[in-house]
Amino acid sequence: MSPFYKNSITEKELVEQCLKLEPKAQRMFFDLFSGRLMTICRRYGRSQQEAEDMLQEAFIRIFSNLSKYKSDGSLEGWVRRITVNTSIKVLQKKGNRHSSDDIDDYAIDAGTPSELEVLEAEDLIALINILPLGYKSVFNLYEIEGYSHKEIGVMLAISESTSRSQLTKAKKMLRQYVSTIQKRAI
Amino acid sequence: MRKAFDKLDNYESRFSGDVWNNINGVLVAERQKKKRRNIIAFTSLVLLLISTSSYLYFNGYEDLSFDRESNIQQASILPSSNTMLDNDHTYKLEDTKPSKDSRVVPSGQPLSVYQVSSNIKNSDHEQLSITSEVYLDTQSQEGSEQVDVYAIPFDETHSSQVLALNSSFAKLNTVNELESIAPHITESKSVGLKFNLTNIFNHGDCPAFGNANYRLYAWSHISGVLPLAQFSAKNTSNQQYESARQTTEAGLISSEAAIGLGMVFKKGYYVEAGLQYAHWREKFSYIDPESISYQTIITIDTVFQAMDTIITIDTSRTEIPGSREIVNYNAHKSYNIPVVFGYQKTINNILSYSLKAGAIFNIQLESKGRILDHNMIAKNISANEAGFMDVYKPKLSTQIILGGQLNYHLTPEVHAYVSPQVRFTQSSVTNDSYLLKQTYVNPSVSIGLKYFL
Repeated sequence: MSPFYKNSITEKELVEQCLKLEPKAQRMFFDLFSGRLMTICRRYGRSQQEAEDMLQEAFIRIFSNLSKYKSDGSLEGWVRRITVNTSIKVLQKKGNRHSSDDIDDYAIDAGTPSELEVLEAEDLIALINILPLGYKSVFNLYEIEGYSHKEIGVMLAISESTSRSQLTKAKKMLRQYVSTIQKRAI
Repeated sequence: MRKAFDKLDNYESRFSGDVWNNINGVLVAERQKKKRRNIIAFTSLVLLLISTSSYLYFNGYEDLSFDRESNIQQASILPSSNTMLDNDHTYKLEDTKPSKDSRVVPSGQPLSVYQVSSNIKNSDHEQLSITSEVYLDTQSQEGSEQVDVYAIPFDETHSSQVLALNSSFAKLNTVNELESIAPHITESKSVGLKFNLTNIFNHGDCPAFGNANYRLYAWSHISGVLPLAQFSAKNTSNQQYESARQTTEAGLISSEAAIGLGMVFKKGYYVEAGLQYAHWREKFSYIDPESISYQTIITIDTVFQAMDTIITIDTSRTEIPGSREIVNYNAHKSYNIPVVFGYQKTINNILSYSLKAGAIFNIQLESKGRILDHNMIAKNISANEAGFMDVYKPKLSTQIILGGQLNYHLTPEVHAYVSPQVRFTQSSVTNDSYLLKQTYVNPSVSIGLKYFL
């Protein structure tokens, strides 16, 4: 259950209070989503500092665009979308191109999804962060956010086929990495 | 593989407290911006309402009431050149009779209303030397005789002469008394006539122009002003600094005083110039994260000895690191030359209003207090203190004034006034090398006196 339900305020009321620029409501809104949105930012950012910058930028955009939110949709879905878009924009602003040039030399072996399922959330985030930027963005958008390759192509300004290719390579790279770690553990 | 990452959906990651502080800084700045926008919108709305309602009431309202009449087409307040009174206090009723010119009724005294037969009216007037009557209406009497109704300023001699000519005559002290003389006038034209006659009856507290085209006056006022600083970063990397300054500084109700001379022309235009002293106040408050406070412990011991009592005092000082809120009241003192142009309209004998615009030219500025520098450290801005941060120009930017003014005529020569205004600084008050632009939007209200020389 979300924290604000405990305080007897509905999501709609919270949004209305935030639109009135009520400081307490804005803080409550931040507390409600910041942890989960930070997880998103950590998946896209290359460091804790960069993820925090993304989170900060995302919340500023959320608060300034809150009037555009239509209450018939999921508020969490809406703030997640803004956070993802903001994270990508932050990366693009910093001059990071989503190309596959930097990953051609990786040797890729197949692995199994079950190997990933045993990992904890922190390990998964760490795992995603070992991926090169181009792989990571496509992997995040497709596997976790659920965007199609066509949508990813538009968002990252790459072709649909590049998106597919990067996803395949990202998956294989992750499995290989997990497999290597498990072998070492044994 | 998607299933493996589902556990990330509700996973909450940790982050530093600075994230909220930075977001909150932007939100606070947004709230202050909204507050400023509301103040400006409210002041503008009040000015608009005052000017629009005044215009409609004293112009449009009057015209509508007279349009329905056939023999008095229009009554309007017009400036006149052949009266000793202020242009805005002279009332002219246009007469539709081809044989009569427009007449002017100088007022400020009781009014005589008399009825004269249309057939003998011209000769009567020659006899009475009446030059300042105003034609009100023509009435049909019994036997189809036409009787004209006129109004003139009350005068004993004239009234006795009018009576001698066997005309109906009445001295009116209030508008309502007109009903007994010419009831249909007040019925059919009550709105317009009441307005005009009210002005005629009560009018008079205005400075005389005589043959001059303008009058000089001295003015003086004090003002309450809210200096609202607006910051903007010169480049995006300074946005955090911009929001930090916006968050840590807030305008307080401040004071100003001014004195000067003005010149009002017969047409109602006026110009004013003078000298103004302004003392703007701002509150600077921020949390110093590396503040060190000191705790002094005084230990008093009393030692009893055989013959005497010895008291020992031991003082120790402890350093306590931590964060602390620092509050400082900043001041910007300036000398300025205001130059204002305006247009004045009369409401009635005791009230007039004006709309004005102009500029305030700063000739000297002195700032005292503290502000944050770009490293978020509080720095002194007082020029006479060591290590001060040289941020402000020695002169403020020119301010543009927009405002209104309501005058209350205490006597013909002395008017009291209240004047709401909004002022804007044209360009940044900070040095060119400073990272931020700082401008002001200042709503203010002045109260003062005018004395016609």
